[in-house]
Amino acid sequence: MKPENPFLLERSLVVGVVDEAPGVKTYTLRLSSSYSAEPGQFNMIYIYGLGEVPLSISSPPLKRGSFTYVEHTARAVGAVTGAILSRVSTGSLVGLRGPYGRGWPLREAEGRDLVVLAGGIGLAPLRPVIKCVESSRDAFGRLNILYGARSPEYLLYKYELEEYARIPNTKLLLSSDTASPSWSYHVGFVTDLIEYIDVDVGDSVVFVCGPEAMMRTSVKKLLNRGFRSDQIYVSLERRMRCGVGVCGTCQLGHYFVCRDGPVFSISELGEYFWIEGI
Amino acid sequence: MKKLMLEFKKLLGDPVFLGYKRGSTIPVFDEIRSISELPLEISDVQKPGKYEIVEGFRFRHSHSSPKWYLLPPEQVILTISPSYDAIDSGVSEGRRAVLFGVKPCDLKAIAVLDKILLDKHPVYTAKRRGIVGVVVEECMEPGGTCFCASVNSGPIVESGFDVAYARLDKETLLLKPGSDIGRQVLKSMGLERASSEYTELYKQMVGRAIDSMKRKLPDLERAQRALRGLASSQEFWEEISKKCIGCGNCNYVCPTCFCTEFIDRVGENHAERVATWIGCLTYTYGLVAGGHFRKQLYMRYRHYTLHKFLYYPLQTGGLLGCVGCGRCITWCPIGLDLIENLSRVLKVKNVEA
Amino acid sequence: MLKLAIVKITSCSGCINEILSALLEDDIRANYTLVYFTELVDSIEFREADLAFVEGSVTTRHQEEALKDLRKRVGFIVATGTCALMGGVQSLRAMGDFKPESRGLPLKQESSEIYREPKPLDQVVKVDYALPGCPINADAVKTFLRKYYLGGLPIAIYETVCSECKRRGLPCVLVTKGIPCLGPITLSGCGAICPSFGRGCYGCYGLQFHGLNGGKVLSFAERLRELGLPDLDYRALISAYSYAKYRDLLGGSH
Ligand SMILES: Cc1cc2nc3c(=O)[nH]c(=O)nc-3n(C[C@H](O)[C@H](O)[C@H](O)COP(=O)(O)OP(=O)(O)OC[C@H]3O[C@@H](n4cnc5c(N)ncnc54)[C@H](O)[C@@H]3O)c2cc1C
Ligand code: SF4
Ligand code: SF4
Ligand code: SF4
Ligand code: SF4
Ligand code: FES
Repeated sequence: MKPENPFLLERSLVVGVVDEAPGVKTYTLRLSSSYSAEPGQFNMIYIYGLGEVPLSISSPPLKRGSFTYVEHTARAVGAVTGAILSRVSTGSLVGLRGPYGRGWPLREAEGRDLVVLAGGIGLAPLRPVIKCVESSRDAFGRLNILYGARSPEYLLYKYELEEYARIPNTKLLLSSDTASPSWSYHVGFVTDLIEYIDVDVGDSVVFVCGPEAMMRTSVKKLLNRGFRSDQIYVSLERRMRCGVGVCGTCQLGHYFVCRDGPVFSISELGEYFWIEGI
Repeated sequence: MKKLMLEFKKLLGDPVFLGYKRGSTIPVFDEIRSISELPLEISDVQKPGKYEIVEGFRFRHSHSSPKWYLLPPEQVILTISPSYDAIDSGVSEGRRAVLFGVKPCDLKAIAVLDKILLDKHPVYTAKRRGIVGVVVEECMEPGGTCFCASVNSGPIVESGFDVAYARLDKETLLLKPGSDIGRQVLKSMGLERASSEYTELYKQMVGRAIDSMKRKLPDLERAQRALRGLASSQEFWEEISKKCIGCGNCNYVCPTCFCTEFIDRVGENHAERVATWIGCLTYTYGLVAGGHFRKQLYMRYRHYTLHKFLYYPLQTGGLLGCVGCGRCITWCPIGLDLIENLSRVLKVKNVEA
Repeated sequence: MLKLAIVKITSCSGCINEILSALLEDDIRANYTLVYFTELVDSIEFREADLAFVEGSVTTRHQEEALKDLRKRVGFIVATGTCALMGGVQSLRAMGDFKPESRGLPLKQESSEIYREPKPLDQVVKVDYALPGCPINADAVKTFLRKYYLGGLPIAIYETVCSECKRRGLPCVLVTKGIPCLGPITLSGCGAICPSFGRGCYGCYGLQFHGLNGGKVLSFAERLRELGLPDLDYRALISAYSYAKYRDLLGGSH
């Protein structure tokens, strides 16, 4: 018997590209209609001859006719992402497999308050969360969105960011590490904003994504503010090759981040979250 | 031995035989075409950082293992065109095969790999599903770096095989069946039930085999507790890994290490996606664009050790990632000794307690 | 079509040979055009190029200046060969009694300082990509050129010759025969050629320095000593191709 090959790719067409920030773009991909994914999951995107990269799904999959559309926001940092940014445009093809991983526990958040805390490109996997809350607004309590980048031009989704503040019962707090003339929000780190969270601490969940150092600081501050470790979730990044728990490269302690994560609660992670290089 | 092979051949419809094959230098795991290819007339001498073949009849293993077949060093997982059409899905059906003369630790290593890869990794799954028979050679005289008894994977087997044999001396084989197929094979070989003289001798030899293994982990659970306690001690891991140079040999020879890296081989008009072994001791492991999750060698050495003794059990429902074969000790060019290190773990913990 | 330059400084042209053989592939010929080829002219004269392979280490001030100028005209520089990365064989002179002197070169009649320790390229200019080897491997050049044309690069993998040796299933010459082999501390890429012929690796792809420090190199040297290599021999062996890295990890020899 021939086993199924999980590494087969679906050919997908790029139908839209948006410039987000220097070196960052959002791509809309067209997939077959059977595709569906949860917020916080990721796809492996393959560029011919170069390789695959894990990219978070940055919009809830949208079914239209016989296709499903998803978005990915990619930042150019290396071989494959560099090629995506410089070569992939509307009309290009890419290979895709997924979705993979365990996303944000939205169920857990239902009926409770929700804090979304993101740094830089870390908003990409959290954007579907915001959109889901928006589309079933009554299912959730108060929403706080805390988002920062190193300078205003590095914020993602600038074309819709301020609209998040208009979602009912929602507070939007933005920050920029550096001041700029037109910037009217907080100047400083996004973790400074944790002070201004106004949800029911005992009955809420917090979703955090950003650079690892930012997540560590965030979690410390959140714990200080009285959130329990089982209320705080982070989405982790690791070197990933297979996405399905067989190549071993994404291990963090005994977890395969690709399969058991990338989203974990701080209580699940325990000391893994704090020990460097474990 | 010849009869044994023939009976399997008859019963299972001409499978291929896979085992340690004598070559010009050192036996490697490969297809066995005739009994003369089996390493029946040699022994290996193994020490930390040292391996030699001498005359004898106690061949245990080499740098090679069944992993070479089940999860080969390079696996083509997809061939694809520039327009993203799959030219070849890479996965073919596994050959019907009998593992012949593998060691108890090898068998355990396969059990470990099964838990991680079976029905998940297409290449492994195909090859593994093709294995229709297992013949194990029990170890009456374990090798110089072996410590299988300490981790419950040898020197004899209790389950998971069809026929197991022990070489009581150069000429005498004691066989035991481990499955219906095994019983059938032994029956058609027309063998007699071994007299108590032989079974007693066997028991004695097994006892001696266990005692002869100098490397021991007297109390695995305590070692595991100690490791848990030491996970965050940078100082300890730096000290333990001081001599390690991150060459990765230990990973490649380890029969349970399964980590792979995916690379693309681009040709003129298609690309091959290839999974190749990568070791967690090498610098690549944990490297990401713009950063590194295990930049220091001590972190990677720690992961290697903790994976084997703490994390595999959590990933496999209880099986250790180390089967005590001693390969990583023998084939380490520096001769670093995993078990010596673990003994140090216990000592450090004693001091602290 | 991408414009390609091949530039050579202090080196043996072995790498250039490999580049040429890569350039014979049809698909590569179709995508690259050679705008400068050092073996055919004697000064670095061309207007600009997308990509330059630079073979060799920097051994004179004249070369250093020429390279700085080259950098301005080339989009992407590939440090080619162990000479360009770690100094190469010619760096061994730093371990001897070579006396640096400033004097006129017979050919140009202009004064140029000759360096005692040849410099790897990255000490002089920004390097975009590195191809180790003495010489480099034509297959690696093909892979690089194909991936570069596709807008990317080969994925960086830092491992040792042992990795390739083991993946080939070769019996380790160090462990089985006690032959001093530099595989455990040498960058991969050659496919473990020397061990496949039963001899020890000479380290021609350069020191696999990531994650190593002086102590680790010495612990390996200690092992070589156990195998019978005298002090000076192991130093010469380890630093033969990678003097610059060796010096970074262990200090100079004087
Ligand atoms: C679950 C997950 C979700 C992610 N989501 C996004 C996203 O939405 N947008 C975005 O821009 N980036 C995201 N990343 C990071 C992104 O995958 C890396 O930036 C990318 O893999 C870098 O590859 P490269 O080829 O450009 O770089 P190179 O350094 O050339 O990488 C070589 C190879 O190493 C691996 N690798 C390198 N860096 C990483 C990394 N950080 N994570 C995982 N593998 C890596 C990749 O397999 C890559 O092919 C995510 C990472 C993970 C693990
Ligand atoms: S860790 Fe060492 S002794 Fe244990 S199974 Fe692997 S190679 Fe054998
Ligand atoms: S992480 Fe290391 S020890 Fe674990 S399987 Fe992979 S290579 Fe082996
Ligand atoms: S084989 Fe030895 S030196 Fe090499 S990585 Fe393993 S423990 Fe370190
Ligand atoms: S022969 Fe050399 S390169 Fe090969 S494994 Fe042994 S030490 Fe490493
Ligand atoms: S990415 Fe391969 S195991 Fe997680």
